[in-house]
Amino acid sequence: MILLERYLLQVERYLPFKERKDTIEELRGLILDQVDSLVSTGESEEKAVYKVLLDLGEPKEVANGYHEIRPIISKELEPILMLVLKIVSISLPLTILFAESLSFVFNTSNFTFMDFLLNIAYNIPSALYALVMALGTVFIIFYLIERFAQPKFEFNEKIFNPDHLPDIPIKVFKISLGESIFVILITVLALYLINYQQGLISVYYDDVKIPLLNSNFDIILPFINIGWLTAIILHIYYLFSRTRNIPSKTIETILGIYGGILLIVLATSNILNEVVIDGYNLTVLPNILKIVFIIVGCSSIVAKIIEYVKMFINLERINELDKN
Amino acid sequence: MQEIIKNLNQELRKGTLVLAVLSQLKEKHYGYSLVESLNKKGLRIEQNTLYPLLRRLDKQGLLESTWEVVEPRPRKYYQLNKIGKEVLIELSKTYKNNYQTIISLLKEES
Repeated sequence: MILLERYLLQVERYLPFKERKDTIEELRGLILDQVDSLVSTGESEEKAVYKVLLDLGEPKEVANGYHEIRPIISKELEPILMLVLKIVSISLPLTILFAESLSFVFNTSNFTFMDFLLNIAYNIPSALYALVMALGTVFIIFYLIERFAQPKFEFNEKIFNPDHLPDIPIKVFKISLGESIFVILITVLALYLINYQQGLISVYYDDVKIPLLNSNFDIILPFINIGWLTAIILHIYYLFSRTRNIPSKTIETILGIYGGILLIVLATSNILNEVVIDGYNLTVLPNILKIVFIIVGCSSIVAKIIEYVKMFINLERINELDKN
Repeated sequence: MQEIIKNLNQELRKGTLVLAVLSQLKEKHYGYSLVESLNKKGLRIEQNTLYPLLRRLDKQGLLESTWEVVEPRPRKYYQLNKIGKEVLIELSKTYKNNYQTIISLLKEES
């Protein structure tokens, strides 16, 4: 019977943790039943165990039978995963190469076209490395959604009725694929710039380069990141849903107001360096930028609120949508 | 070609095995008694296939399983529960319909 225990130990190694004890107990009983049956026909116990185990086969194969075969990503999530992977695969390397090229152009005084091309070539490995990291991260995020948010993607098993198909979104709820992709691309690029290439945001004059943002900006940076990451998530959701709805419009409005407030905070905080070129104080430049920030910030807040209120004025159509 | 036939045969068998096992579980069985019962009725089923299948059907909520200590050792017994019985009736209907259709299709062929 030592052979049986050795066999069961090997099976146990490959079994799912949760069910090990129960499965092994059951398997032991099943094997011993067969051994008993063979022994009753005159076989020795030792030979009987050997024969039964031989018949059962490789321990790993036996254990594999108990594993539930479940796809890592379900059919419902797969199309959106593929779309996100495609967007990341195209946009990320291009964004990195574009940003690095910009950095090269602004930081190098004399260069030939060949130098420029060589710089791009040097940056290809790091772009590919970033791509692999990003694809892995996206996959992990989707795996986590699949594993822990699965119920949200389960469709109710209702009898299909064409009358219940959602109405074509009204104008305010319409969103094009291009719009979402554009927003995602621009936001990724902006995130990359302000987080990793902050030095590029400078005043350039001949060979002089004066960074515009000072260390105070780093205090506000996490808040900007939160806003932009939320915008990216929202537009990834739009890629999936292909329409806005009241909750997503609410998030958009909150994001717009949040962005507006951030712009006003940026304008009223001491985040910009003094610009002095050739002895001339050009602080007027950052000041103009501050005024622009305030105007854009206030307009954004007002525009978003008006847009949101206008949406509710058209209650009749919204109610129709709710019915669907 | 032999490999293709083998694979297709396995696919054909897979679906019917569930029906066969469910049909026998109208009465209470433990693993080995089920193997014997199916063997007697002419259905050879590998234990590697049967035991995990029992576990899966149990998890899906079609069976009622209980550990019972009957000499010489404790055994896990399985039997169809209410849902299992309903599923068996539905599957049997589908199988019979499909069987009739396939038979008539095969007759057309020959």
